Formats: sequence, structure tokens, C-alpha cells
Amino acid sequence: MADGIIAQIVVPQLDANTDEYHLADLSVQDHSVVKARDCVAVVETSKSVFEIETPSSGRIYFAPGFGRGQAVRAGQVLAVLVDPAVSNPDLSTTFQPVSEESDSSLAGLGATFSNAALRRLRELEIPPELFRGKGLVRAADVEAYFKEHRR
Amino acid sequence: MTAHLTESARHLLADVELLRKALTIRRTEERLLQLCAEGAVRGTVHTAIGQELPALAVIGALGTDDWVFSNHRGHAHFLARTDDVEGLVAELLGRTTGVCGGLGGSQHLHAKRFMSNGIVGGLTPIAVGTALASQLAGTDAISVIFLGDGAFGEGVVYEALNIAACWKLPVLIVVENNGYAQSTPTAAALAGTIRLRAEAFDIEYRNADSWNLSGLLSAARDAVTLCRSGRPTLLEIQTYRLSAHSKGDDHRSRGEIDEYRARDVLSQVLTENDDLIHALERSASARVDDAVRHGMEAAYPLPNVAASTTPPVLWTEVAPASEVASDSIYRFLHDTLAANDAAVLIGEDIGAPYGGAFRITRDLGHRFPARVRSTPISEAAIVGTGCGVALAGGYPIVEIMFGDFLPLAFDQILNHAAKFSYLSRGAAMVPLIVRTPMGGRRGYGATHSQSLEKHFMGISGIRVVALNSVMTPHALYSDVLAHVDQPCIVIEHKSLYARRAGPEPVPGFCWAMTQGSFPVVRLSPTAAAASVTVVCYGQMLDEVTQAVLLAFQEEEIISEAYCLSLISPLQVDALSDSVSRTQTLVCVEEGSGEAGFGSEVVAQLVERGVSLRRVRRLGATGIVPAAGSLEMETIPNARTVCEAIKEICG
Repeated sequence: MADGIIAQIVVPQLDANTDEYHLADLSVQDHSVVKARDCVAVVETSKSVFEIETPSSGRIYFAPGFGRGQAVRAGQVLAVLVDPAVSNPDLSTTFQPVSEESDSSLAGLGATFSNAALRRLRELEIPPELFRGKGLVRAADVEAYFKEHRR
Repeated sequence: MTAHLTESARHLLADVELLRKALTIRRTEERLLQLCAEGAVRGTVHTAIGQELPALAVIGALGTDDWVFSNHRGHAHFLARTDDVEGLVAELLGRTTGVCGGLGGSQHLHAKRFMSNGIVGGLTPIAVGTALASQLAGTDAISVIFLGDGAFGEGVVYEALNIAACWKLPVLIVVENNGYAQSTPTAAALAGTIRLRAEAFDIEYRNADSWNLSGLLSAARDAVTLCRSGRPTLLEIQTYRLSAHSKGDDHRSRGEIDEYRARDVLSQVLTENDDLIHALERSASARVDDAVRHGMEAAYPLPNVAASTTPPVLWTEVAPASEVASDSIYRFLHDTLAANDAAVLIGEDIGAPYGGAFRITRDLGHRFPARVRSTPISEAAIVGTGCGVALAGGYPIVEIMFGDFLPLAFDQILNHAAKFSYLSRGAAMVPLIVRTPMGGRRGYGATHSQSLEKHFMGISGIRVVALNSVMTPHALYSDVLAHVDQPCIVIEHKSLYARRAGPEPVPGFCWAMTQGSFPVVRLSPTAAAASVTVVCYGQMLDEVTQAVLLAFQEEEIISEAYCLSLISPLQVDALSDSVSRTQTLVCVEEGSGEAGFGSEVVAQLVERGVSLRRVRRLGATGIVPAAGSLEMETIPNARTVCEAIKEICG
């Protein structure tokens, strides 16, 4: 294990019928300091919901890309606990590869763009940020903006 | 003078009060048959002529705090318990002065701690429930359930016997074995013996017969005493009904009936030319005549025509929340148990440390060991036991492990819990909450993934509520608890358990909910007019929310979504304005779409005169398969809802 890692939190074998479960929830913030026996995640099996607890205290680093609703397998490393005194631990070889990175480039703008609007934004080279907080943005809204500002 | 009489007849003749009561019951029932023949009594009656003494023997041994549950052949039990000839006759005449105001009739009699019902065996778990309430309250009250031999064909009876024995509840099962289940001889319908059935459950067994009066009285007292000491007991009484099963349906031979009439103790006594008997006869007949006359003079009940006013729909912000749904439900259960000593949780595997299949009850079994009851696998008895606890003044919250198992308790909900308040004119309240997880997306297959709530919609006397991901379960359950004038089924979609409840921001849209109880949740565009209204309930709100976004992103269609919390009785007030504007409606439910939630929504909107140009109903397209790929195709999801929106707006 990399320097500073206190323990791994591994998805346990919870069900005799299957080793694939549903990650129902992450109960603590990534990179937060946790105590021993804190619940860090909720996993649903064929009939029950189980809480996964920390084996010890430390700062928790979840495997990148994990999120609510994903499938997890028994034995998979869900997170590691790192000595809180260690800053920026190198975890590059700690976790198994996980799912594709989500594109959150438009997240946080306070607007929902139609696909047609996004296409026109690209075609007209208008940055989406200009529509921050505008709610629902249609292609016509982009056209209107373009016409107004071209003048 | 009476030396020719049997010892039992002489005994009865000597016990004037017992004789008076038996004679009163017989004359009352004979007159009821006459009134039936004259057409004054509607429907049917099932008399206990020849079976008066078992009723009097058992009920005579009871105290006023004991419960008595009867059956379709319940007049003798009722009169033995209440001596209310006037109330019974007026009830069968359908008059307001009847014991149930004419609402119950022959088979549904309610008085203080007395109840009869027309479903054979159906009250057995309810007697178990009142016995549980007595045990929890630390009283020595017992619950008596009268069954016929035919009731042992009903599965719910065995479920109830098992729970009574497992929990050592003070339940006395009185089996009046009259040799026939309606028209079928007992030998043809009952394998083995009733004694062996009791012994199989480790239930104390006693027996007696109608024709040995001292033995009958002694056995009844003994059984009541044994039961009151905390031993569930079964008392089998051999008896014989001298009249037809109902009004005239009798195929038994005249010789057989005459043989038993000759053995009948009351019939023997009534053949005596004795001044006392004549006086009692005159008194009983006069009382019944008076009861009939007064009953005939009383008014018929009228429909309740109190105008119902619909309050205006007012919208408010949805409070932010961030509590995992299963935590929120647990917190509600904990708070309810802590605040109310009469609250009881009942269900399969809910005790600690297991804490229920979905771990909702967690450690509550440790915290409240007497009031968190893990049960056998007996859904009908679970609901029935809860119903009995409720009748006794408790606040039962029962858990059905999977909603797919709820149909096993359908009769207890439909024919019992839903009806008691109405039939008793509000005297018997059933503050029963039934929690159950429903729904798919987990690969549990055809019998663990269904959404069956529509089968419980439209039942008078119960509410059906569905949790969603925006309202916190604690808040919605608090509404349920505040409205326990009716039993309530709460649908908990199993995929909600791990969700954090609360409104997630959707840019361009805002969340709102109606003020008051059982809010309707709305997702509406902040600055644009919607062209389609989408209505749903429960977990489908998540799918609909995604679909609303997809429909905008892909086709720039602006939708407005509504999610109902109270799905039965269903009201469309909150969405009728939206549908009036859009005239375009998509109804989404996870259960099968035919004859379901969407159908009712559309029907109510049309009845209100709302103009609907385009309508689509989405629901499960068939039996829910286990394979993930097929399951997702079968039940509605964000993609299929989106396609429906696009299609209807196309």
C-alpha cells in the first residue's frame, strides 16, 4: 500500500447468491475525516441493505468515479483510509480502474441546455457560461443572443 | 313432575336466568326467520337455533373487559353478550335504532368489545390482536373467537393459531362443531380432528357438547380460566343446528333433525307444561313482539349527504432535506414507539438484530422488545393482528416484507380493517398503518418486483399513500399518523430506501408542493409555459424528472410534472389547472397500466370537464422478468417516459 494508507475499505461478501451489489449511497464526504465504525456507504443486496463501516479512523478517499446507483463487486476496494497528517497521498495505483469520467462541464451553470442549443453555441462559438442562471436554454435563445450581440 | 326429563333439562329448568336467556335467543331467531319470510328482513340470516347453550355457557363465564368475536351465525353470541334484542331486531330490519344503525345487518354486529363478521375465520387473527393488546397492557382480559368446524378450511385460522401459541396470547377459540360446513358434512370437509389441530400448535384443548349442560358450563368456565392464565385454549363443543344453514336451505333428513331436536335441552324443557316456562315464554314473545314493533316504527338510515368542500390548492416551497429515506422511516418508527406506549410494530424478521429484510427497523427490537414483534410468515395474520391491536386502542404499524405478499392479506384489509369503522358508525376505529416495499429495478423477478398498489386503490375505508424521493418519509408518515381515522397502506418503493430524500435542483425548473396533508409535489418550468403535463406517484418521480430533462434537451419540449402522495382516494385538483392549459397528459406508473392509476386520473379529469386532446398512459408492459435487460424494458423508465412525451407532443 502507498505511504500513509491505514486501511482499505473493501466491499464484503454479503449474499450467498451473488457477489454483485448495488451501491445505494455514500454516507460521508470524500476526503473527510472519519471515526472507527462510521458508516461510509450503503450497499443493497438481493433482499437487504447493509452499511459498510470504517475499520479505523482516518481520512477517507473513495475510489474515483464511484457514485450512488453503481454496481460494486465483493472484494472491490471502495475506499482507503489515510493518515490525516499525510497531505496529497499518492493513490494512483491503489484503486482498480472504474467507469468513465462524467462530463460536468455544464454543471453549476444554473441552466439546462437543449442539444440544439449546445450545437448552436458551438457553431457560433459562444461560451455556455454566458447563459449562467438562464434556466431552460433553447436554440432560439442562442440565436436571439447571437443576433443581439452581433449588432 | 320432571323426573322424565334428562338431567340437563332439569338443570336448565332450575337455572331460570339461563333458561330466560336461551328462550329469548330462540324466540328472537324464530321471529327473524318469520320476518325474512315476510320480506321485512332483507338479505339473509343464519340462525343458531339449537346452539344457544354453547353461546351462553362461554359468554356467561366472561368478564366485561373480555373481547368476543363471532361469525355469520352470530345472533346467539350477540344476545348472550348484550341481551339487546331490540338492537338486534332493528338492525336486521335495517333501521336507525339497530345496533349498527342498519349498516351491518345480520352478519356484521358491533357492540362494546363484541364484533361479528361474514367472512368465515376472518376475525381469528383480529382476536389474536386484541389479545396481544391485553398482554401488552398487562390486563387479564381474554379474547374469545367463535368458529364453526367449517372455519378450519381457512388458512388464516392456522396462521392465527400459530401466532397465538407462539406468543402465548390469551385467546380462547370456541369451535361450535355442528356437523356441517353449510351443507357439507364435517367428515367430508375436515381431515383429522380438531383436537389434533390444537395439539399441533401446543394449544390447550377442552371439549364439551350441547346436550350435557353441566359439563358444558364446567368446560366453558375451565377454558376461560385456563385462557386467562395466559394459555391459548381451544374449546370444541359438539352441537347441532336445528334450523337451516340460512333461511331455508336444508337438505338434511327430517329424521336426523328430529333426533337432535329430541336431544336438544331447551326443546325438552319447552315441552313441559309448567307455569314458569309459560311465563318465560310469554315474556320472551312479548319482548320480541315489542322489539319488532319498535323496529318497524323506526326510521330507515339515510345517505350521508354532508356537502364535501374541496379546499383551494395552495402551493408552497419544498423544504430542503437531506436524510436517507431508510433513516427517515427508522426515525419515524423510533419516534412513534418512544412517544406512544400503545404503538406496536409487527412484521416478519423485524426484530433486532436482523431489523427487517431492508433493515428499516434495525435495532428497534432491542430498544422496544415487547412492542417490536417478529412474526411467522403469515401476512394475513400480521395484518389481522395489527387490526386487532388497533381495535383495542393501539397504534400498530405492520410491515409486509415485500409488497408482492400484500395480496395474501387482501381479505384482512378489504373485508375487515376497511369496514369496521363504517359498520360500527365510528365506534370501532382502526388506526392501522401497513408499510410495504414495492417495485422493481433490482432483479428480484416476477414475485418480488411488482407494483401492486392499484389493487388496493378504490377501496372504501382505507388510504393508500406512496413515498417519493422529494418528500421526507418522516414528514409523510407524520401525515399518515395524523390521519389514522382510516387504515393506511404506505407504499415504499424499495429503490427509495437508500436515496437521500429532498428536492434536487433542476436548472430551469422549480419544485413546489401543495399545502396541507399528503402533498402533491410539482416540478414546473420557472420561466416558460409547459406544453405537456406528466403525472405520477412514488419512485416514478425520479424517472419522470429525468424524462422531463431529456425531453427538453432532445426536443425542447417543456413539461410540468406532478407526483401524488395520496393515491387512494385519488384527487386530481392539484393538476387539473395544468392539464387544462396543456390539454396533453402523460400518466406514469410502475404497475401495469391497464385499469390503474393513470386510468383513474384520466377518468376524473374528463368527469371534471377538463379538455384532453392527447393522453398516454405508461405502465409495466407485462410480468416483471428477472433479467436486467428485460426488466428495464418492462417497467417505465426515464427513456420510455421521454419517448412518450416526445410522441404525444410530436
